[in-house]
Amino acid sequence: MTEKEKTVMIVDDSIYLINKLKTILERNGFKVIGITDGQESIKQYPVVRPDIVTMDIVMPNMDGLKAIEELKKIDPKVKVIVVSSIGMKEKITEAVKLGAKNFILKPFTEQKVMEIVNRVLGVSP
Amino acid sequence: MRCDFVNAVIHALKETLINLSPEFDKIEIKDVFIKEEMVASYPVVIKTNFSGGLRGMVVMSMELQTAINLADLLLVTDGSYATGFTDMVQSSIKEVVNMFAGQVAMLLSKGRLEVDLLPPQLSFGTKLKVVTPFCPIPVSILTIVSAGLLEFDLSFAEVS
Repeated sequence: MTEKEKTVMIVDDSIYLINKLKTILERNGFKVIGITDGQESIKQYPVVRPDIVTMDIVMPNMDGLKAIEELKKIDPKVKVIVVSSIGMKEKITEAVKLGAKNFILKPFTEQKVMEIVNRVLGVSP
Repeated sequence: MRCDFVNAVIHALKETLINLSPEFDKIEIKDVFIKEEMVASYPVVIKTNFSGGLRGMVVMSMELQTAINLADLLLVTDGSYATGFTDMVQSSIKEVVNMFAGQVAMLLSKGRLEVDLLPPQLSFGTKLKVVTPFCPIPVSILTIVSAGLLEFDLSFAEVS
């Protein structure tokens, strides 16, 4: 499988941020699935089997931390990147303890997003 | 409200807007004043609550056209544009408040306060009053950006 065929599942309650990340990732050859709810990401993960999940932390219904815990139960090797506001240091640390591979701080640049995504995938940009 | 909170908030506001778009590099703080109660001056109102070591809220309000202009500045960076008060426009301006609140939380955390954010909520109406049962007198910051006039009302109290 080449890098261009990789799938990213974006989990964020903000359709603006899903659209922003989707634009960046598709421009770089990724297939993208956008989901607006942590609970829904648990249902969709086994179906989509994405190479990477980007996860917002603050979401209604099920927050990102709980969603990471649940995803780890489904797939212990799941690669999650947390996407969060700069002020959520404690929550980001908690997410990393739960198994998140890396994090992206908002507002982000295309360069930063691709740097982190490629690093988590273990590929050279 | 403590002066260092207000200073942190003004700094956070400038940081957030400038990071979102180069269009905001000419941000002007028009006025900072005390309000008798938390009543939004403009019809598009977004509020986000803090909890943890600091309880309180940030409320941003603006005219409808300003909201669309503001969203347009954000969406254009992704090759899109605002066509009205759509879900995408509402989502983008909520994200401005979310990022701004995140900046405030970071600045205040340096003062050893652990602050949690709740998802921003958008309302639309005239002279909307926001209930703040646990917070002191709100401070209002009027900001001018190229999109128009933005009003930020803040009310915080440190949890003892």
